[in-house]
Amino acid sequence: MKSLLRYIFLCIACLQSSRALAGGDSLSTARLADSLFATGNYYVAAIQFQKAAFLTLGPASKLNFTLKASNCYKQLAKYQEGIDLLSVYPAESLNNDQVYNLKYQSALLAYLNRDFTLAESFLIQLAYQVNDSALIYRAALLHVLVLNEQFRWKEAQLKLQAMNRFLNAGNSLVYNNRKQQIDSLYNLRQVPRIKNPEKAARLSTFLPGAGQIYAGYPGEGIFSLAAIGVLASGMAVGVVYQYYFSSVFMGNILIGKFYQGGIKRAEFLTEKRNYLKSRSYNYRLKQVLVSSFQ
Amino acid sequence: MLLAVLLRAQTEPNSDFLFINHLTAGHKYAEAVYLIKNDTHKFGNDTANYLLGYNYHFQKRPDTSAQYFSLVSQASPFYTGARFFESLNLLYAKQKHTHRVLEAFLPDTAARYRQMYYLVKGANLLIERNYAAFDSVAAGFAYDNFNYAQEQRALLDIRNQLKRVKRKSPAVAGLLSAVVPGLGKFYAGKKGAGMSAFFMNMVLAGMAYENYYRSGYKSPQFIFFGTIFGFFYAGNIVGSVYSVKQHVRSFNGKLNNEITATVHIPVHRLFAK
Repeated sequence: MKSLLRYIFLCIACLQSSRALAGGDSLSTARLADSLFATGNYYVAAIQFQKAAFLTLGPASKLNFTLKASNCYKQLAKYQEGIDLLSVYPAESLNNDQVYNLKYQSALLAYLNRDFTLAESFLIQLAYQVNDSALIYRAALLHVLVLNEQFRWKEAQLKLQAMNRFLNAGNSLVYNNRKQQIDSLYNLRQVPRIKNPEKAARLSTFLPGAGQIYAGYPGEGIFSLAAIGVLASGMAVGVVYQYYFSSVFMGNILIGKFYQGGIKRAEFLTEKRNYLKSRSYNYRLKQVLVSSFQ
Repeated sequence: MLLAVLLRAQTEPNSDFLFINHLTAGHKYAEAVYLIKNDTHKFGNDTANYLLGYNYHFQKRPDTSAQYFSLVSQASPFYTGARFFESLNLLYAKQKHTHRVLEAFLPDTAARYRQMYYLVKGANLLIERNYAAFDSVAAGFAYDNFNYAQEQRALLDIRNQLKRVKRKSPAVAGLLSAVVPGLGKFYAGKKGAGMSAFFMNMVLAGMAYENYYRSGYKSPQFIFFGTIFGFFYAGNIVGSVYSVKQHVRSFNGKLNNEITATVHIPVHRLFAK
Protein backbone atom coordinates (compact mmCIF):
# COMPACT_ATOMS: atom_id res chain seq x y z
CA MET A 1 0.00 0.00 0.00
CA LYS A 2 2.79 2.35 1.00
CA SER A 3 4.73 1.69 -2.23
CA LEU A 4 1.55 2.13 -4.32
CA LEU A 5 0.98 5.54 -2.73
CA ARG A 6 4.60 6.49 -3.37
CA TYR A 7 4.19 5.40 -7.02
CA ILE A 8 1.02 7.45 -7.50
CA PHE A 9 2.66 10.47 -5.86
CA LEU A 10 5.65 10.19 -8.24
CA CYS A 11 3.37 9.96 -11.29
CA ILE A 12 1.35 12.99 -10.25
CA ALA A 13 4.51 14.94 -9.45
CA CYS A 14 5.97 14.17 -12.89
CA LEU A 15 2.79 15.12 -14.71
CA GLN A 16 2.42 18.33 -12.71
CA SER A 17 6.01 19.31 -13.27
CA SER A 18 5.83 18.77 -17.05
CA ARG A 19 2.59 20.76 -17.30
CA ALA A 20 3.66 23.52 -14.93
CA LEU A 21 7.00 23.85 -16.68
CA ALA A 22 5.68 26.33 -19.19
CA GLY A 23 3.79 28.48 -16.68
CA GLY A 24 6.58 28.44 -14.11
CA ASP A 25 9.16 29.28 -16.78
CA SER A 26 7.11 32.16 -18.09
CA LEU A 27 6.74 33.73 -14.65
CA SER A 28 10.39 33.45 -13.75
CA THR A 29 11.35 34.70 -17.24
CA ALA A 30 9.00 37.66 -16.84
CA ARG A 31 10.51 38.45 -13.43
CA LEU A 32 13.98 38.34 -14.98
CA ALA A 33 12.78 40.60 -17.82
CA ASP A 34 11.28 43.06 -15.31
CA SER A 35 14.57 43.26 -13.45
CA LEU A 36 16.47 43.78 -16.72
CA PHE A 37 14.04 46.53 -17.70
CA ALA A 38 14.47 48.20 -14.31
CA THR A 39 18.25 48.30 -14.80
CA GLY A 40 17.87 49.77 -18.30
CA ASN A 41 18.96 46.61 -20.15
CA TYR A 42 16.10 46.99 -22.62
CA TYR A 43 17.41 44.82 -25.43
CA VAL A 44 17.75 41.69 -23.33
CA ALA A 45 14.55 42.57 -21.49
CA ALA A 46 12.73 42.67 -24.85
CA ILE A 47 13.97 39.16 -25.66
CA GLN A 48 13.02 37.82 -22.22
CA PHE A 49 9.53 39.36 -22.38
CA GLN A 50 9.03 37.75 -25.78
CA LYS A 51 10.17 34.46 -24.28
CA ALA A 52 7.74 34.86 -21.39
CA ALA A 53 4.96 35.61 -23.88
CA PHE A 54 5.94 32.54 -25.88
CA LEU A 55 5.98 30.25 -22.85
CA THR A 56 2.82 31.44 -21.13
CA LEU A 57 -0.49 29.79 -21.90
CA GLY A 58 -2.87 32.52 -20.72
CA PRO A 59 -3.89 35.03 -23.43
CA ALA A 60 -3.93 37.91 -20.90
CA SER A 61 -0.35 37.24 -19.78
CA LYS A 62 0.72 36.71 -23.39
CA LEU A 63 -0.59 40.15 -24.34
CA ASN A 64 0.86 41.73 -21.22
CA PHE A 65 4.36 40.36 -21.92
CA THR A 66 4.14 41.29 -25.59
CA LEU A 67 3.21 44.85 -24.65
CA LYS A 68 6.13 44.96 -22.24
CA ALA A 69 8.47 43.71 -24.98
CA SER A 70 7.19 46.44 -27.30
CA ASN A 71 7.79 48.92 -24.50
CA CYS A 72 11.43 47.82 -24.41
CA TYR A 73 11.71 48.51 -28.15
CA LYS A 74 10.15 51.91 -27.48
CA GLN A 75 12.86 52.63 -24.93
CA LEU A 76 15.47 51.61 -27.49
CA ALA A 77 13.80 53.92 -30.06
CA LYS A 78 13.29 50.84 -32.28
CA TYR A 79 9.69 51.80 -32.86
CA GLN A 80 9.17 49.78 -36.02
CA GLU A 81 10.27 46.57 -34.28
CA GLY A 82 7.73 47.27 -31.55
CA ILE A 83 5.00 47.83 -34.14
CA ASP A 84 5.96 44.61 -35.96
CA LEU A 85 5.78 42.69 -32.70
CA LEU A 86 2.29 43.96 -31.91
CA SER A 87 0.98 43.75 -35.45
CA VAL A 88 1.12 39.93 -35.47
CA TYR A 89 -0.81 39.73 -32.21
CA PRO A 90 -4.39 38.54 -32.90
CA ALA A 91 -6.93 41.10 -31.67
CA GLU A 92 -9.80 38.58 -31.68
CA SER A 93 -11.14 37.30 -28.36
CA LEU A 94 -9.63 40.20 -26.43
CA ASN A 95 -11.69 42.28 -24.04
CA ASN A 96 -12.06 46.06 -24.29
CA ASP A 97 -9.11 46.87 -22.04
CA GLN A 98 -6.82 44.48 -23.91
CA VAL A 99 -7.78 45.81 -27.33
CA TYR A 100 -7.28 49.33 -26.02
CA ASN A 101 -3.79 48.52 -24.70
CA LEU A 102 -2.80 46.76 -27.91
CA LYS A 103 -4.04 49.46 -30.28
CA TYR A 104 -2.96 52.40 -28.14
CA GLN A 105 0.59 51.07 -27.80
CA SER A 106 0.73 50.42 -31.57
CA ALA A 107 -0.53 53.94 -32.29
CA LEU A 108 1.95 55.46 -29.84
CA LEU A 109 4.86 53.59 -31.43
CA ALA A 110 3.73 54.66 -34.91
CA TYR A 111 3.42 58.28 -33.70
CA LEU A 112 6.94 58.16 -32.26
CA ASN A 113 8.12 56.62 -35.54
CA ARG A 114 6.57 59.68 -37.27
CA ASP A 115 4.29 57.41 -39.30
CA PHE A 116 1.18 59.45 -38.62
CA THR A 117 -1.03 57.72 -41.16
CA LEU A 118 -0.36 54.37 -39.51
CA ALA A 119 -0.86 55.87 -36.04
CA GLU A 120 -4.25 57.22 -37.11
CA SER A 121 -5.20 53.88 -38.59
CA PHE A 122 -4.51 52.17 -35.23
CA LEU A 123 -6.57 54.84 -33.43
CA ILE A 124 -9.47 54.35 -35.84
CA GLN A 125 -9.26 50.58 -35.24
CA LEU A 126 -9.29 51.30 -31.50
CA ALA A 127 -12.43 53.43 -31.76
CA TYR A 128 -14.09 50.77 -33.89
CA GLN A 129 -13.17 47.71 -31.81
CA VAL A 130 -13.46 49.09 -28.26
CA ASN A 131 -16.99 49.36 -26.90
CA ASP A 132 -16.23 51.72 -24.06
CA SER A 133 -16.45 55.51 -24.55
CA ALA A 134 -14.19 56.18 -21.55
CA LEU A 135 -11.39 54.15 -23.16
CA ILE A 136 -11.95 55.74 -26.56
CA TYR A 137 -11.67 59.23 -25.07
CA ARG A 138 -8.56 58.16 -23.16
CA ALA A 139 -6.88 57.74 -26.55
CA ALA A 140 -8.27 61.04 -27.87
CA LEU A 141 -5.26 63.10 -26.81
CA LEU A 142 -2.90 60.93 -28.86
CA HIS A 143 -5.32 61.23 -31.78
CA VAL A 144 -5.21 65.04 -31.40
CA LEU A 145 -1.39 64.98 -31.49
CA VAL A 146 -1.49 62.81 -34.62
CA LEU A 147 -3.95 65.18 -36.32
CA ASN A 148 -1.76 68.17 -35.40
CA GLU A 149 1.21 66.55 -37.11
CA GLN A 150 -0.89 66.09 -40.24
CA PHE A 151 -1.77 69.85 -40.25
CA ARG A 152 -5.41 68.93 -39.53
CA TRP A 153 -5.79 71.44 -36.73
CA LYS A 154 -9.53 72.00 -37.18
CA GLU A 155 -10.25 68.28 -36.73
CA ALA A 156 -7.89 68.22 -33.75
CA GLN A 157 -9.78 71.11 -32.16
CA LEU A 158 -13.13 69.36 -32.66
CA LYS A 159 -11.80 66.12 -31.18
CA LEU A 160 -10.42 67.98 -28.19
CA GLN A 161 -13.76 69.74 -27.67
CA ALA A 162 -15.59 66.39 -27.83
CA MET A 163 -13.17 64.99 -25.28
CA ASN A 164 -13.78 68.01 -23.04
CA ARG A 165 -17.56 67.54 -23.34
CA PHE A 166 -17.27 63.88 -22.39
CA LEU A 167 -14.90 64.35 -19.48
CA ASN A 168 -16.32 67.55 -17.96
CA ALA A 169 -20.02 67.33 -18.80
CA GLY A 170 -20.97 67.54 -15.12
CA ASN A 171 -18.73 70.45 -14.26
CA SER A 172 -19.61 73.53 -16.25
CA LEU A 173 -16.86 75.68 -14.75
CA VAL A 174 -14.06 73.29 -15.73
CA TYR A 175 -15.79 72.62 -19.05
CA ASN A 176 -15.94 76.32 -19.95
CA ASN A 177 -12.35 76.94 -18.88
CA ARG A 178 -11.10 74.07 -20.99
CA LYS A 179 -13.25 75.14 -23.93
CA GLN A 180 -11.75 78.61 -23.86
CA GLN A 181 -8.27 77.17 -23.56
CA ILE A 182 -8.84 74.90 -26.59
CA ASP A 183 -10.28 77.77 -28.65
CA SER A 184 -7.37 80.02 -27.83
CA LEU A 185 -4.85 77.26 -28.64
CA TYR A 186 -6.40 76.71 -32.05
CA ASN A 187 -7.08 80.39 -32.70
CA LEU A 188 -6.97 80.97 -36.43
CA ARG A 189 -4.39 83.72 -35.98
CA GLN A 190 -2.04 81.25 -34.35
CA VAL A 191 -2.58 78.30 -36.65
CA PRO A 192 0.09 78.31 -39.37
CA ARG A 193 -1.17 78.88 -42.89
CA ILE A 194 -0.15 75.81 -44.79
CA LYS A 195 0.75 76.48 -48.39
CA ASN A 196 0.14 74.13 -51.26
CA PRO A 197 3.35 72.80 -52.88
CA GLU A 198 1.43 71.96 -56.06
CA LYS A 199 0.24 75.56 -56.30
CA ALA A 200 3.85 76.74 -55.88
CA ALA A 201 4.89 74.43 -58.73
CA ARG A 202 2.06 75.75 -60.92
CA LEU A 203 3.02 79.35 -60.22
CA SER A 204 6.65 78.65 -61.15
CA THR A 205 5.49 76.95 -64.33
CA PHE A 206 3.76 80.13 -65.53
CA LEU A 207 6.22 82.65 -64.12
CA PRO A 208 9.68 81.46 -63.03
CA GLY A 209 10.37 82.52 -59.44
CA ALA A 210 6.68 83.09 -58.55
CA GLY A 211 6.48 79.73 -56.71
CA GLN A 212 9.47 80.63 -54.54
CA ILE A 213 7.92 84.01 -53.72
CA TYR A 214 4.62 82.26 -52.83
CA ALA A 215 6.58 79.85 -50.57
CA GLY A 216 7.97 82.87 -48.69
CA TYR A 217 11.41 83.08 -50.25
CA PRO A 218 11.25 86.26 -52.39
CA GLY A 219 15.05 86.53 -52.74
CA GLU A 220 15.27 83.12 -54.37
CA GLY A 221 12.27 83.91 -56.56
CA ILE A 222 13.82 87.10 -57.91
CA PHE A 223 17.17 85.38 -58.47
CA SER A 224 15.48 82.56 -60.38
CA LEU A 225 13.61 85.02 -62.62
CA ALA A 226 16.74 87.12 -63.17
CA ALA A 227 18.87 84.07 -64.06
CA ILE A 228 16.38 82.97 -66.71
CA GLY A 229 16.13 86.56 -67.96
CA VAL A 230 19.91 86.84 -68.34
CA LEU A 231 20.09 83.50 -70.17
CA ALA A 232 17.25 84.50 -72.48
CA SER A 233 18.98 87.84 -73.19
CA GLY A 234 22.24 86.02 -73.94
CA MET A 235 20.34 83.81 -76.34
CA ALA A 236 18.81 86.85 -78.06
CA VAL A 237 22.24 88.52 -78.39
CA GLY A 238 23.63 85.30 -79.90
CA VAL A 239 20.86 85.28 -82.50
CA VAL A 240 21.52 88.95 -83.35
CA TYR A 241 25.18 88.05 -83.98
CA GLN A 242 24.03 85.16 -86.19
CA TYR A 243 25.13 82.36 -83.87
CA TYR A 244 21.74 80.77 -84.42
CA PHE A 245 22.49 77.17 -83.71
CA SER A 246 24.68 77.75 -80.61
CA SER A 247 22.31 80.33 -79.15
CA VAL A 248 19.15 78.35 -79.63
CA PHE A 249 20.49 75.04 -78.31
CA MET A 250 22.69 76.45 -75.54
CA GLY A 251 19.92 78.77 -74.44
CA ASN A 252 17.33 76.03 -74.55
CA ILE A 253 19.43 73.60 -72.56
CA LEU A 254 20.37 76.11 -69.85
CA ILE A 255 16.99 77.82 -69.63
CA GLY A 256 15.28 74.43 -69.56
CA LYS A 257 17.47 73.29 -66.69
CA PHE A 258 16.88 76.48 -64.69
CA TYR A 259 13.16 76.44 -65.44
CA GLN A 260 12.62 72.80 -64.42
CA GLY A 261 14.89 73.20 -61.41
CA GLY A 262 12.94 76.30 -60.36
CA ILE A 263 9.65 74.37 -60.37
CA LYS A 264 11.10 71.57 -58.20
CA ARG A 265 12.74 74.13 -55.93
CA ALA A 266 9.43 75.98 -55.42
CA GLU A 267 7.77 72.73 -54.33
CA PHE A 268 10.62 71.91 -51.99
CA LEU A 269 10.68 75.38 -50.44
CA THR A 270 6.92 75.30 -49.81
CA GLU A 271 7.21 71.95 -48.05
CA LYS A 272 10.19 73.20 -46.05
CA ARG A 273 8.34 76.34 -44.96
CA ASN A 274 5.24 74.29 -44.02
CA TYR A 275 7.38 71.95 -41.97
CA LEU A 276 9.22 74.70 -40.12
CA LYS A 277 6.05 76.65 -39.33
CA SER A 278 4.06 73.62 -38.20
CA ARG A 279 6.93 72.17 -36.20
CA SER A 280 7.25 75.16 -33.89
CA TYR A 281 3.46 75.53 -33.56
CA ASN A 282 2.94 71.79 -32.94
CA TYR A 283 5.72 71.80 -30.40
CA ARG A 284 4.01 74.53 -28.41
CA LEU A 285 0.66 72.75 -28.76
CA LYS A 286 2.15 69.47 -27.56
CA GLN A 287 3.63 71.11 -24.47
CA VAL A 288 0.28 72.66 -23.49
CA LEU A 289 -1.85 69.63 -24.37
CA VAL A 290 0.31 67.11 -22.54
CA SER A 291 0.57 69.28 -19.42
CA SER A 292 -3.10 70.35 -19.29
CA PHE A 293 -5.16 67.56 -20.84
CA GLN A 294 -3.38 64.33 -19.92
CA MET B 1 3.19 4.39 -16.54
CA LEU B 2 5.89 6.22 -14.62
CA LEU B 3 8.32 5.33 -17.38
CA ALA B 4 5.90 6.62 -20.00
CA VAL B 5 5.51 9.93 -18.19
CA LEU B 6 9.26 10.31 -17.76
CA LEU B 7 9.84 9.43 -21.41
CA ARG B 8 7.28 11.96 -22.53
CA ALA B 9 8.99 14.66 -20.46
CA GLN B 10 12.32 13.71 -22.04
CA THR B 11 11.12 13.70 -25.66
CA GLU B 12 9.20 16.99 -25.51
CA PRO B 13 11.10 19.66 -27.44
CA ASN B 14 13.28 21.98 -25.42
CA SER B 15 11.39 25.25 -24.79
CA ASP B 16 14.52 27.32 -25.52
CA PHE B 17 14.89 25.62 -28.88
CA LEU B 18 11.23 26.25 -29.66
CA PHE B 19 11.55 29.88 -28.60
CA ILE B 20 14.55 30.38 -30.91
CA ASN B 21 12.43 28.96 -33.74
CA HIS B 22 9.65 31.33 -32.73
CA LEU B 23 12.05 34.31 -32.91
CA THR B 24 13.37 33.18 -36.28
CA ALA B 25 9.84 32.76 -37.62
CA GLY B 26 9.08 36.31 -36.40
CA HIS B 27 12.17 37.64 -38.29
CA LYS B 28 13.89 38.54 -35.00
CA TYR B 29 17.19 37.09 -36.16
CA ALA B 30 19.47 39.41 -34.18
CA GLU B 31 17.61 38.56 -30.96
CA ALA B 32 17.83 34.84 -31.76
CA VAL B 33 21.58 35.11 -32.37
CA TYR B 34 22.01 37.01 -29.10
CA LEU B 35 20.12 34.38 -27.14
CA ILE B 36 21.93 31.42 -28.72
CA LYS B 37 25.36 32.94 -28.11
CA ASN B 38 24.51 33.67 -24.48
CA ASP B 39 22.81 30.34 -23.77
CA THR B 40 24.90 27.93 -25.85
CA HIS B 41 25.01 25.48 -22.92
CA LYS B 42 21.22 25.06 -23.17
CA PHE B 43 21.40 23.71 -26.70
CA GLY B 44 24.70 21.92 -27.08
CA ASN B 45 27.37 23.03 -29.54
CA ASP B 46 25.98 21.36 -32.66
CA THR B 47 22.44 22.68 -32.22
CA ALA B 48 23.75 26.14 -31.31
CA ASN B 49 25.99 26.23 -34.39
CA TYR B 50 23.14 25.06 -36.60
CA LEU B 51 20.76 27.70 -35.20
CA LEU B 52 23.42 30.41 -35.51
CA GLY B 53 24.12 29.44 -39.09
CA TYR B 54 20.40 29.44 -39.81
CA ASN B 55 19.79 32.90 -38.33
CA TYR B 56 22.87 34.41 -39.99
CA HIS B 57 21.60 32.92 -43.26
CA PHE B 58 18.38 34.93 -42.87
CA GLN B 59 20.37 38.00 -41.94
CA LYS B 60 22.03 37.65 -45.37
CA ARG B 61 25.48 37.08 -43.91
CA PRO B 62 26.46 34.02 -45.96
CA ASP B 63 30.13 33.87 -44.92
CA THR B 64 29.35 33.83 -41.20
CA SER B 65 26.42 31.50 -41.77
CA ALA B 66 28.55 28.98 -43.72
CA GLN B 67 31.20 29.16 -41.01
CA TYR B 68 28.70 28.15 -38.29
CA PHE B 69 27.09 25.43 -40.43
CA SER B 70 30.55 23.97 -41.07
CA LEU B 71 30.98 23.49 -37.31
CA VAL B 72 28.02 21.10 -37.01
CA SER B 73 29.50 17.66 -36.41
CA GLN B 74 28.54 14.40 -38.08
CA ALA B 75 26.99 13.14 -34.81
CA SER B 76 24.30 15.84 -34.96
CA PRO B 77 20.83 15.14 -36.40
CA PHE B 78 21.23 18.52 -38.15
CA TYR B 79 24.36 17.38 -39.97
CA THR B 80 22.82 16.79 -43.41
CA GLY B 81 20.85 20.03 -43.37
CA ALA B 82 23.89 21.92 -42.11
CA ARG B 83 26.03 20.68 -45.04
CA PHE B 84 23.40 21.69 -47.60
CA PHE B 85 22.94 25.11 -45.97
CA GLU B 86 26.71 25.51 -45.82
CA SER B 87 26.92 24.74 -49.52
CA LEU B 88 24.11 27.20 -50.30
CA ASN B 89 25.68 29.98 -48.24
CA LEU B 90 29.07 29.43 -49.85
CA LEU B 91 27.28 29.80 -53.18
CA TYR B 92 25.81 33.11 -51.99
CA ALA B 93 29.29 34.13 -50.84
CA LYS B 94 30.43 33.55 -54.44
CA GLN B 95 32.69 30.65 -53.52
CA LYS B 96 33.51 27.97 -56.08
CA HIS B 97 32.94 24.19 -55.94
CA THR B 98 30.51 24.49 -53.03
CA HIS B 99 29.19 20.98 -53.81
CA ARG B 100 32.41 19.56 -52.37
CA VAL B 101 31.12 20.07 -48.80
CA LEU B 102 28.45 17.49 -49.68
CA GLU B 103 31.02 14.85 -50.54
CA ALA B 104 31.68 13.94 -46.89
CA PHE B 105 28.29 12.24 -46.43
CA LEU B 106 28.12 8.63 -45.32
CA PRO B 107 27.07 6.25 -48.14
CA ASP B 108 23.44 6.04 -46.97
CA THR B 109 22.97 9.79 -46.86
CA ALA B 110 24.89 10.26 -50.09
CA ALA B 111 22.60 7.81 -51.85
CA ARG B 112 19.49 9.41 -50.40
CA TYR B 113 20.47 12.92 -51.48
CA ARG B 114 22.28 12.04 -54.72
CA GLN B 115 19.86 14.04 -56.87
CA MET B 116 20.23 17.08 -54.60
CA TYR B 117 23.99 16.71 -54.88
CA TYR B 118 23.68 16.71 -58.68
CA LEU B 119 21.55 19.82 -58.47
CA VAL B 120 24.11 21.70 -56.34
CA LYS B 121 26.99 20.49 -58.49
CA GLY B 122 25.12 21.46 -61.65
CA ALA B 123 24.46 24.92 -60.26
CA ASN B 124 28.15 25.35 -59.44
CA LEU B 125 29.22 24.25 -62.88
CA LEU B 126 26.70 26.52 -64.57
CA ILE B 127 27.93 29.51 -62.53
CA GLU B 128 31.43 28.65 -63.72
CA ARG B 129 29.97 28.42 -67.26
CA ASN B 130 31.50 24.96 -67.56
CA TYR B 131 28.87 23.69 -69.98
CA ALA B 132 30.45 20.34 -70.88
CA ALA B 133 30.76 19.29 -67.23
CA PHE B 134 27.25 20.62 -66.52
CA ASP B 135 25.78 18.58 -69.37
CA SER B 136 27.32 15.39 -68.01
CA VAL B 137 25.92 16.11 -64.51
CA ALA B 138 22.52 17.11 -65.92
CA ALA B 139 22.38 13.76 -67.72
CA GLY B 140 21.97 12.23 -64.26
CA PHE B 141 18.95 14.39 -63.33
CA ALA B 142 16.04 12.07 -62.55
CA TYR B 143 13.25 14.68 -62.09
CA ASP B 144 11.61 12.19 -59.77
CA ASN B 145 11.06 14.24 -56.62
CA PHE B 146 8.75 17.19 -56.12
CA ASN B 147 11.32 18.84 -53.84
CA TYR B 148 13.81 19.51 -56.62
CA ALA B 149 12.47 18.27 -59.97
CA GLN B 150 11.28 21.74 -61.01
CA GLU B 151 14.63 23.25 -60.09
CA GLN B 152 16.50 20.63 -62.11
CA ARG B 153 14.39 21.63 -65.11
CA ALA B 154 15.04 25.31 -64.35
CA LEU B 155 18.80 24.68 -64.47
CA LEU B 156 18.42 23.12 -67.91
CA ASP B 157 16.35 26.12 -69.04
CA ILE B 158 19.08 28.47 -67.88
CA ARG B 159 21.65 26.32 -69.71
CA ASN B 160 19.61 26.67 -72.93
CA GLN B 161 19.24 30.39 -72.37
CA LEU B 162 23.02 30.70 -72.07
CA LYS B 163 23.44 28.69 -75.29
CA ARG B 164 21.29 31.18 -77.20
CA VAL B 165 22.85 34.35 -75.83
CA LYS B 166 24.90 36.44 -78.22
CA ARG B 167 28.21 37.60 -76.82
CA LYS B 168 28.79 41.34 -76.99
CA SER B 169 32.21 42.87 -77.24
CA PRO B 170 33.16 46.12 -75.45
CA ALA B 171 35.72 46.84 -78.21
CA VAL B 172 33.05 46.63 -80.91
CA ALA B 173 30.82 48.96 -78.86
CA GLY B 174 33.66 51.50 -78.55
CA LEU B 175 34.38 51.26 -82.28
CA LEU B 176 30.71 51.72 -83.18
CA SER B 177 30.48 54.79 -80.97
CA ALA B 178 33.59 56.23 -82.57
CA VAL B 179 31.99 55.93 -86.02
CA VAL B 180 28.46 56.99 -85.05
CA PRO B 181 28.12 58.49 -81.55
CA GLY B 182 25.55 56.53 -79.51
CA LEU B 183 25.64 53.43 -81.74
CA GLY B 184 27.77 51.55 -79.19
CA LYS B 185 25.11 52.08 -76.51
CA PHE B 186 22.46 50.97 -78.97
CA TYR B 187 24.52 47.81 -79.53
CA ALA B 188 24.75 47.33 -75.73
CA GLY B 189 20.95 47.24 -75.61
CA LYS B 190 20.42 50.75 -74.26
CA LYS B 191 18.44 52.21 -77.11
CA GLY B 192 17.22 55.34 -75.31
CA ALA B 193 20.69 56.21 -74.03
CA GLY B 194 22.08 55.62 -77.52
CA MET B 195 19.63 58.02 -79.16
CA SER B 196 20.17 60.63 -76.46
CA ALA B 197 23.96 60.37 -76.84
CA PHE B 198 23.62 60.72 -80.63
CA PHE B 199 21.42 63.82 -80.27
CA MET B 200 23.70 65.49 -77.71
CA ASN B 201 26.79 64.81 -79.81
CA MET B 202 25.14 66.23 -82.91
CA VAL B 203 24.04 69.38 -81.08
CA LEU B 204 27.51 69.94 -79.61
CA ALA B 205 29.16 69.20 -82.94
CA GLY B 206 26.79 71.68 -84.59
CA MET B 207 27.68 74.38 -82.07
CA ALA B 208 31.40 73.73 -82.47
CA TYR B 209 31.08 73.85 -86.25
CA GLU B 210 29.03 77.06 -86.21
CA ASN B 211 31.61 78.78 -84.02
CA TYR B 212 34.41 77.52 -86.25
CA TYR B 213 32.56 78.76 -89.34
CA ARG B 214 31.80 82.20 -87.85
CA SER B 215 34.96 82.94 -85.86
CA GLY B 216 37.70 80.55 -87.00
CA TYR B 217 39.52 77.81 -85.16
CA LYS B 218 41.53 80.25 -82.98
CA SER B 219 38.46 81.92 -81.52
CA PRO B 220 37.70 81.30 -77.81
CA GLN B 221 34.10 80.33 -78.71
CA PHE B 222 35.25 77.55 -80.99
CA ILE B 223 37.85 76.35 -78.45
CA PHE B 224 35.12 76.34 -75.76
CA PHE B 225 32.47 74.47 -77.79
CA GLY B 226 35.05 72.27 -79.52
CA THR B 227 36.44 71.18 -76.15
CA ILE B 228 32.97 70.38 -74.83
CA PHE B 229 32.19 68.37 -77.96
CA GLY B 230 35.54 66.55 -77.69
CA PHE B 231 34.82 65.57 -74.10
CA PHE B 232 31.33 64.36 -74.99
CA TYR B 233 32.55 62.42 -77.98
CA ALA B 234 35.38 60.69 -76.09
CA GLY B 235 33.19 60.17 -73.04
CA ASN B 236 30.57 58.52 -75.18
CA ILE B 237 33.09 56.01 -76.56
CA VAL B 238 34.28 55.14 -73.06
CA GLY B 239 30.64 55.02 -71.87
CA SER B 240 29.74 52.56 -74.63
CA VAL B 241 32.60 50.24 -73.64
CA TYR B 242 31.40 50.32 -70.03
CA SER B 243 27.78 49.90 -71.13
CA VAL B 244 28.62 46.55 -72.69
CA LYS B 245 30.66 45.50 -69.66
CA GLN B 246 27.80 46.56 -67.40
CA HIS B 247 25.27 44.77 -69.61
CA VAL B 248 27.30 41.55 -69.49
CA ARG B 249 27.80 41.88 -65.71
CA SER B 250 24.12 42.51 -64.99
CA PHE B 251 23.03 39.70 -67.33
CA ASN B 252 25.45 37.27 -65.67
CA GLY B 253 24.48 38.50 -62.21
CA LYS B 254 20.79 37.98 -62.95
CA LEU B 255 21.36 34.47 -64.29
CA ASN B 256 23.66 33.56 -61.38
CA ASN B 257 20.94 34.69 -58.97
CA GLU B 258 18.46 32.47 -60.78
CA ILE B 259 20.91 29.56 -60.59
CA THR B 260 21.42 30.15 -56.85
CA ALA B 261 17.64 30.21 -56.40
CA THR B 262 17.40 26.73 -57.88
CA VAL B 263 19.53 25.52 -54.95
CA HIS B 264 17.98 27.85 -52.37
CA ILE B 265 14.40 26.66 -52.82
CA PRO B 266 14.95 22.89 -52.46
CA VAL B 267 17.39 23.33 -49.55
CA HIS B 268 14.75 25.39 -47.74
CA ARG B 269 12.01 22.95 -48.67
CA LEU B 270 13.93 19.98 -47.32
CA PHE B 271 15.79 21.36 -44.33
CA ALA B 272 14.25 24.65 -43.12
CA LYS B 273 12.10 23.12 -40.43
